Amino acid sequence: MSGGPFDPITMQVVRDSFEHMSEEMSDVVERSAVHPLFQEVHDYSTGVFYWDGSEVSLIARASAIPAHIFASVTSVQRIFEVFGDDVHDGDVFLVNDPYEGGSHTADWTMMRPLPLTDGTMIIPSIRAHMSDFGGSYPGGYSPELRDTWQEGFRIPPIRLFERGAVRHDLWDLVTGNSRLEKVLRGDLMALVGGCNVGARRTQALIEKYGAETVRAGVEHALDYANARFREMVRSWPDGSYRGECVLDHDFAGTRDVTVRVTVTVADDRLIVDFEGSDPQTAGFVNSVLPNTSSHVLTAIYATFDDDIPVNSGVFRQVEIRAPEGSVVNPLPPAPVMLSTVVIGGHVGEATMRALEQFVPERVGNVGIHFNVLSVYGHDARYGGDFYFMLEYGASLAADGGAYGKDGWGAWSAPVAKHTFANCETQELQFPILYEQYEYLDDSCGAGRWRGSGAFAMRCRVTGEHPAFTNVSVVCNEHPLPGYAGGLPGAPSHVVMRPGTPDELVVTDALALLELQPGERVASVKGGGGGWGPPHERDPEAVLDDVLDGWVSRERAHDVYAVALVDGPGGPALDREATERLRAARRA
Amino acid sequence: MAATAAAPIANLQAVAGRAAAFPGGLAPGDALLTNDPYAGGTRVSDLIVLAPRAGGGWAAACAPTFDVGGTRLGNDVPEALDLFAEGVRLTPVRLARAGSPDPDVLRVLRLNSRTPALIEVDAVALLDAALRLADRADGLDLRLGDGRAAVQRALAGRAREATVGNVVLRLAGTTFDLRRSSAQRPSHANATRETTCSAVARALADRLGCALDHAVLAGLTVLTVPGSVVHCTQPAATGGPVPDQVRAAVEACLG
Repeated sequence: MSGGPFDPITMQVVRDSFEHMSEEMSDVVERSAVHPLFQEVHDYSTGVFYWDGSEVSLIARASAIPAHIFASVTSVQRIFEVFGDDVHDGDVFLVNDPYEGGSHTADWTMMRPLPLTDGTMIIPSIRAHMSDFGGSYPGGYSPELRDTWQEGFRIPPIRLFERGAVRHDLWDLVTGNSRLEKVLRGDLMALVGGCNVGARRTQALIEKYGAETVRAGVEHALDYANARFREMVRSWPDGSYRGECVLDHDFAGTRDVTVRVTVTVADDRLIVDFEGSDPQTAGFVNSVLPNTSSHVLTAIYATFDDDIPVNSGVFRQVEIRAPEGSVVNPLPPAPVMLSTVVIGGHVGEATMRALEQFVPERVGNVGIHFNVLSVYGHDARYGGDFYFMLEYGASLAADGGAYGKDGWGAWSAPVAKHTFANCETQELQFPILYEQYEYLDDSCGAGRWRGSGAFAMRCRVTGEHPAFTNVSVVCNEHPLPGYAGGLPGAPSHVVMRPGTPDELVVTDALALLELQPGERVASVKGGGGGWGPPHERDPEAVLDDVLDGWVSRERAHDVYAVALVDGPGGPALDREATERLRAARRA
Repeated sequence: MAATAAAPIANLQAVAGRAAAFPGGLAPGDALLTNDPYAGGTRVSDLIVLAPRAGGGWAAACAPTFDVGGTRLGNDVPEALDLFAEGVRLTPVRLARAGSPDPDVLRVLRLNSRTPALIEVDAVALLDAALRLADRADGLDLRLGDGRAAVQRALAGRAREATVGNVVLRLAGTTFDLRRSSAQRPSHANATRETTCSAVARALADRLGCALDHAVLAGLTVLTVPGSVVHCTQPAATGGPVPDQVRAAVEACLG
């Protein structure tokens, strides 16, 4: 290979360099941030963007939260809309506002532009869920929220660093609006560090290959992804396909909030139109367009071949339309805090319902059962310091079955990098004690490939101070759906003070309940839906599930049409009886 | 310090302290904005703008604005468990450089108010007032008035006690002892020490008919306990009636 400036190998090296620096930025954040939202839960995403003088493109991202990074394109674009040419090397910009380029107030996006060629820039960026940002309720998750000012401090695009120098007053302003100011300072510094590493690696890349070669590599990566996507879409049948998904309630009195979508395949383009979706609501589930778009793209990416790069080359082929004033494109100041998962996940599921009609073997759950338990108070062990925690273990557990695989559990598509928080670490940092943290037997959404089980968590308040809890439950009436004949996952609910005379079962919402030390909260988070008819599941796999405790013998018989007998080593397959059951089911 | 009748002079004094320590310093034509009770402010809906005078010292302008976010329009949130529920906290920021408002700060102000046009007009008007005052005050005689002597004369030998709401005041000569006031509340019924001192000074100046300046405060001893409703610690909410209660207690003690 000649090694010339525009040869394909060099182009690939440039693209991979950006992927690699995104991963390195992610490592920096993970190892230097303070709140367990970062090191434990990975609720942040890193990526590298490109400004061509008129438009921003995502060119690479680390393994991260798809809903974060796809939506960040708008944040970066907004910087150039606001600051125009007044963007310089060493500047660092910050934004969190859902109506100014963000998705919800909790997610802060930090950006560090670097000049590439004349009029173009590379922008390493990080979006992260911050622990507290002021507003009416710690952590921002309260079903009582009714406008976006209540949700927290709104940060429009601001220049936090000017040519390398921090603007101390703006730094103090953004950190001073957190109940966890010291924590936020540490977390924010981690984002700065991550962006700086991205900038240094970009600079080194430019020095090694030259700016024009790097720019060519970027555009090659975008063009390549675009071409691959167009090729894939051309293989799909032209036509319009409808899907919808229903949210139980909006936490403000409106029930059955419905997302409706029509996906049109038009040669090598997709048009995703949300005409007919319900109007924006009073509750905190409204999804601004960038967030809606990111969940559409999450669903579409699930249909991809693995080797198509994840970048804006694909986004160019997808036109997303959403009526203004709808729950998927609200007008300010509609509250949006929960929308990054609810109603965002419903956007994804509705899109999947449409895709199911022409690529059924590529669809599966991209929503989340989300029992949001936000807990806060004071921790006597640390001098009465204020703390805030999100009980993530009970929030991120569900995963649906898909063609060729059962739901894994502990993984949800739109927040792919999220991980279960470690119980022991949580207990060290917050005054709670976990008593249960496990998947439940016999709770998987049935299917040829089954979903993950429902996840049960029970914990007790320890210490000397009460804990305040806000609870938001969804997917109780409308659990995660199954696809291609699979059955839905189990529903969710929360129980406050379980097993006591004051027990309270929550299937929708509860605000500011005070739990005294020793009192408990329990959560059952529903499982993922199945893929394909249950009676098509391999009987050996059903037997394995029975032996592993995932499926009861009764459910094996009634739902999977599998007959078991008692053998010398435990349950064994009765193949003839199973075939009779299945023949009857098929008939 | 010279001030108009309603000015929270102890608060302004505290903000001036923050301005003096502003990173990088503030030059004539610059101005600082805050509403942060824990940086010298009173309550979140009161904006304070401070501008340096060329000859030293500061000129200030302060006024309430209509809304700075938080739980509800107007920032009157009696149930607020902390400052953040009342509204956005504007820690001291450089509102203007060389006479020009900072666009980042203005964007933050507009976005964090349910009445964005009003807060921008308010901030710019206060900026203009502070800059003009800084400019004009260069030629003024800013010596303190006779408040210190007036206060000492008026309070000599006085000893009374008054309770208004959660505020308990024992007056003994020039000592205003508020240490038996309630512990700070999980509501908006709190005031910072600076706000309490401002309320005492204002009540005295009103009663004695003297100029409200630092001389009034200099003649007094105000005793408070940190963590009380008259000397709250962050992040307690501060939008409630405590300053009015302090003034009422002072007036009651003065008879």
